[in-house]
Amino acid sequence: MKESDDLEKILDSLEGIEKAEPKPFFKGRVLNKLENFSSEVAPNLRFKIKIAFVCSVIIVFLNSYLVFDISESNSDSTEPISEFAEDYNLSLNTVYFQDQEL
Amino acid sequence: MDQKELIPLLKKGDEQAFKVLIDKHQKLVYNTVLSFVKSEEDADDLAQEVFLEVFQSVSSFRGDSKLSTWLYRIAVTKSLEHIRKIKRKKRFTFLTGLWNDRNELIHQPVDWVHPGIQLENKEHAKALFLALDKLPEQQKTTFLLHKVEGLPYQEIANILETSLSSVESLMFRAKQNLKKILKNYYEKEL
Repeated sequence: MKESDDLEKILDSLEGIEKAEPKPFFKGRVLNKLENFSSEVAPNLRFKIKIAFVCSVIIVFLNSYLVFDISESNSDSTEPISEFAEDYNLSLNTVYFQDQEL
Repeated sequence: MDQKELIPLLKKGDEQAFKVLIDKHQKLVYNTVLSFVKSEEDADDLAQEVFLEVFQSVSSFRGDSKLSTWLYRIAVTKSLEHIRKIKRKKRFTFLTGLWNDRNELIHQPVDWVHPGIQLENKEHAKALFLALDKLPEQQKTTFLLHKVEGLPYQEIANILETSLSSVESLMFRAKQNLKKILKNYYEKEL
């Protein structure tokens, strides 16, 4: 019984607690921090915008280069093969006639 | 200046409104944070951070709840984050201490008493604050907001964005767990 009374007393030990006072000049310190914070954030934001712009230019350049390069390589990709086949008499017709002659 | 006048001015970035906000609520924020972090220096830094957070995110405050409810919410979140950070740091220091001798001491007061405690309750309060550290976050928050800040359950429910019955249950479990912890503590002491 006594033990549970003691525990209750401990749980109630915060009754009548008074508010603690913040250290003097709290407001001044917050405002000072806020001023420093704002001046830090502004150049940071400008720098981030610059980086984002440069990155997007690079991405657009790389994409257009790749698209251009692929379409160009596709357009002349059949030419060298047909030229090669002609040079060495490798066309299907030629092979067929040669077999008949033999 | 009441909440209805203050919030639009804060959203516009009015410095005078911000000063009014600090004047009006610095005690609330400082005391909330102090009972969690149990250090006057840390509480001072954290309370400042709370106001910076308010300044940054006031544009997203819809005004559905009271300004004080929102401030309590930010103060509690910041305090719990701070405690988690200290615990992580402690674990890391312990692990690095296994390999080298350079072991940085992490300041965590063992016998801290809230400066507003009545003299005759100091010894009991010391034990209670120690036991509170062993409670789950939600139970600890509910207990501190009710007992230290003197908030009614409904207000705590608004701060924690939960129901009234959940807060009642959290408070009941907090008390039960505290009794168990304190009983063990005193049995070991004797």
